[in-house]
Amino acid sequence: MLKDILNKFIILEGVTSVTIIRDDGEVVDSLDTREIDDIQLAAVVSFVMAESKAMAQKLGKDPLTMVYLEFRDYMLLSAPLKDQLFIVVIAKPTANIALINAELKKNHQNILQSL
Amino acid sequence: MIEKIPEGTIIGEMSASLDWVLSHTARFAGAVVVTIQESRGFILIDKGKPLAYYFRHGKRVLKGHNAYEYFRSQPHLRFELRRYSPEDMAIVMDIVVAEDKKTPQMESVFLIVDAGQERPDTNSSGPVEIPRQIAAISSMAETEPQTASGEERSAYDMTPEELAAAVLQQMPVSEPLIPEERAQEDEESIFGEYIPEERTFATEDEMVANVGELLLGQILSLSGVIAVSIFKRGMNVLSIGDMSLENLIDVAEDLIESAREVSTVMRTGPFVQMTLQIPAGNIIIAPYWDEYLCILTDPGVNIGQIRKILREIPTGNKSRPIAPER
Repeated sequence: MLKDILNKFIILEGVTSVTIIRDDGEVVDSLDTREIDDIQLAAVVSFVMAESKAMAQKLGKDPLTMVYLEFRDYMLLSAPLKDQLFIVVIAKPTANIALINAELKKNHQNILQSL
Repeated sequence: MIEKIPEGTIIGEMSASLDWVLSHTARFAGAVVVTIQESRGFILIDKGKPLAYYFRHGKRVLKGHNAYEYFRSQPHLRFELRRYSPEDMAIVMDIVVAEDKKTPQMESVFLIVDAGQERPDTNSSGPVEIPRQIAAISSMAETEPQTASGEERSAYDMTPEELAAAVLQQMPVSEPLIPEERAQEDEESIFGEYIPEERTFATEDEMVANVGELLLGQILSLSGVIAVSIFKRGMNVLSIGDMSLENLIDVAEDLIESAREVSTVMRTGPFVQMTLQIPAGNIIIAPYWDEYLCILTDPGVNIGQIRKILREIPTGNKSRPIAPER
């Protein structure tokens, strides 16, 4: 069930991986078209998310809704799912961020139900 | 005088050290209107060249070198940037010159003479020729004109020799304006524009720097941008906008470190920018030369426009090329 949902992301133009990560760095599930070390990725991205939450808290009580990291060759989009889980989508710069974002919103509830 | 200078186009209010202001105004032509406590002054800058320094506190007026030293003694200056058109610049220059005529004491000398003339030979007994430049060399000046001799003599009433001698007399003996090692090299510079620090630019670097300045200006002008901070090594070097982002710097630096780790692990290429989205808006962190930008926006901002601009900002491992050499 979760794989089916993740597959909706991986078929999007430019998306190379989609991973569900726990905030302690554990990989819950993932799909990718590019060989990357999921465990290492989860470890570093969980740091990014923890610090991003700290930044959001400094600005007020608003929860973090999305983190977007852009590099020269790839971009990373991460969104909290619930308390200790978040989804990470890695894509090429040519990917349509708005489309990925829309897919995240559309499938948010389904992902939560399948976890 | 401060009330008379043109309003120009107000770019925004900021806070930064004088060194930062001087090294980040390579393309800027206008006035940096400084407020210290309740008192105000300004630095007139033309494409990176400071033309005049002025500060007024009650009845006391600081001009030229003394104003520069006072500004420099402040860890941070709160200031407003006013961009001037050539017409505005001409108006403000008229005001500066008129002010100097009005208070013609020897403490403040703004020199304007004909163009195309060579620099003077101060040792020569012949007529002193002064190039068309402005020398804002002064010491503390009171608003009430007063000269050593008790006479009120305008700089314009003096012969060139007298004027040269007057300028030389104003050079502090105990604290030379120019470091000793540069004194010989800069011997003639008292007749040129007053440049507080040597500014040597490589043309190519300057062009790159100008691009960066231009792009930062574009971000600031975007609708929805609330505040911008430039920071480096835990220090806020510039704040623009209504809200201070100083308390975000530590976390922002941690985020940059984490982004670098992501880059290493995933072999993504260099870090371009990161955007944190919260319901109230966005926080964008991006490299800016060898410093970083932190931008706070409202939710309605066009993120795509900012991303596009950020991608065009050159980053460097070396110091900002427009910074003066030390």
